[in-house]
Amino acid sequence: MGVSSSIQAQSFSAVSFNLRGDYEYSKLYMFDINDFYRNYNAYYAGVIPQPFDTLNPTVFSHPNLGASVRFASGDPVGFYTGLSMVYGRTSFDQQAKFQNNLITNTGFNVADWNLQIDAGLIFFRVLTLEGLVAARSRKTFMEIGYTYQDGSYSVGNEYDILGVYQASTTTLDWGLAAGLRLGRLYIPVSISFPTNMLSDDGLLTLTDFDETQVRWSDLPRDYQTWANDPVNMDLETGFVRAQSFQSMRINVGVEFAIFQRID
Amino acid sequence: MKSFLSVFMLLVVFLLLNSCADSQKKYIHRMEGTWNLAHEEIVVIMQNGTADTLSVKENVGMMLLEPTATVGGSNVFLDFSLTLVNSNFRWVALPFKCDDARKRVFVYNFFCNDIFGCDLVCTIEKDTPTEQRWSFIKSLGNGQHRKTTWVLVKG
Repeated sequence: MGVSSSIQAQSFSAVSFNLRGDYEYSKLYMFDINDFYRNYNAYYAGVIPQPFDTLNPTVFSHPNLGASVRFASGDPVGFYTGLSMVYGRTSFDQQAKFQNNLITNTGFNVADWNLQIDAGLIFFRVLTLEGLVAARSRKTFMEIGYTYQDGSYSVGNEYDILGVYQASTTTLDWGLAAGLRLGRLYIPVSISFPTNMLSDDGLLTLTDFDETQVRWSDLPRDYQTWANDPVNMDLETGFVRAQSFQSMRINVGVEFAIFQRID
Repeated sequence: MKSFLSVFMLLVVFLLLNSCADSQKKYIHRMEGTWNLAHEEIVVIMQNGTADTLSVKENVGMMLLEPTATVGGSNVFLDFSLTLVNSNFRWVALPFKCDDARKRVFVYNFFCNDIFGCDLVCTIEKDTPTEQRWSFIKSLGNGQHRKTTWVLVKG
């Protein structure tokens, strides 16, 4: 009886190819970009009646779409693993208005690629508990333009701060995941934290800068020094770092198995 | 099992290739050729929000964009040659490109041939295969700005 039960217990296996959608709650750790806003507001204090708001730390949250492959083996307690890849993006704007009605626009466009591997246990063919590692690549574009009094919009080179800035933030994250497997549906939940593995030391830099640019081509945290005395910018702390766009993430989603084989 | 993994890998490859699409390369593919500078409008933007028109001209000149010979090894640059009506000055085979976000065009050495202060950067206002509208702005002081708008039509 015991032997037959054991054989039966190990006979369950399932493999599936799934389409996945999830929502990613993304919380920034570091706030270099808000230093830029604060310093910009301070520099123009007195002539900027509607200054920039600082960014909410969860402003990079967004939905994802992608696919996964999952494998389960063993019952009532078995091995469970999955490989998923998702893509998501979000965009938003911030504005400050000067007393002469000139508006500074900062428009963000954030795109995330996530490749996640998780492995752990499945209980009673339904409940999964896993650890995960994820390679995350985040590309952040920040466009700084002026809207003039007649409504004309420009990202030209009439002022040095204008332009399109870009940062690539790559991290290897670790975390925990859980899920419910219900027929062809799988409901995953996970939390992950960035490490500094794979991360670069880049800055939020103009994608292309013209040769007119005599100041730095990186977005300053210290706007006042950048504007008044750019030669003396602190190279360690004076600019917005790509690493400051790392975030803790919580993902909640649903996967639907378009191919599934159960033995 | 093999078929599942094959489908997944194909999807991953497709997504990766798609993410590597280069907007600059697409833009120079669109822009290569002869463009008629069909319309030029110059206005002064006043602090009160009005725009005083300084000049409006039609058929101002011709811009030729061709594969670069000036920027070696690059596949995001073109060379531009610009001829303006009623101007003896010609710009011949100078670097041109758009930025990675395809929001601006860089017309290098437009104003002079020095290192600093010589490049024209235009904001792309309209971007179609047959028509481009670019604008560039210069501060005049006293809170006023001069805006020049060019409309280019594919020749």
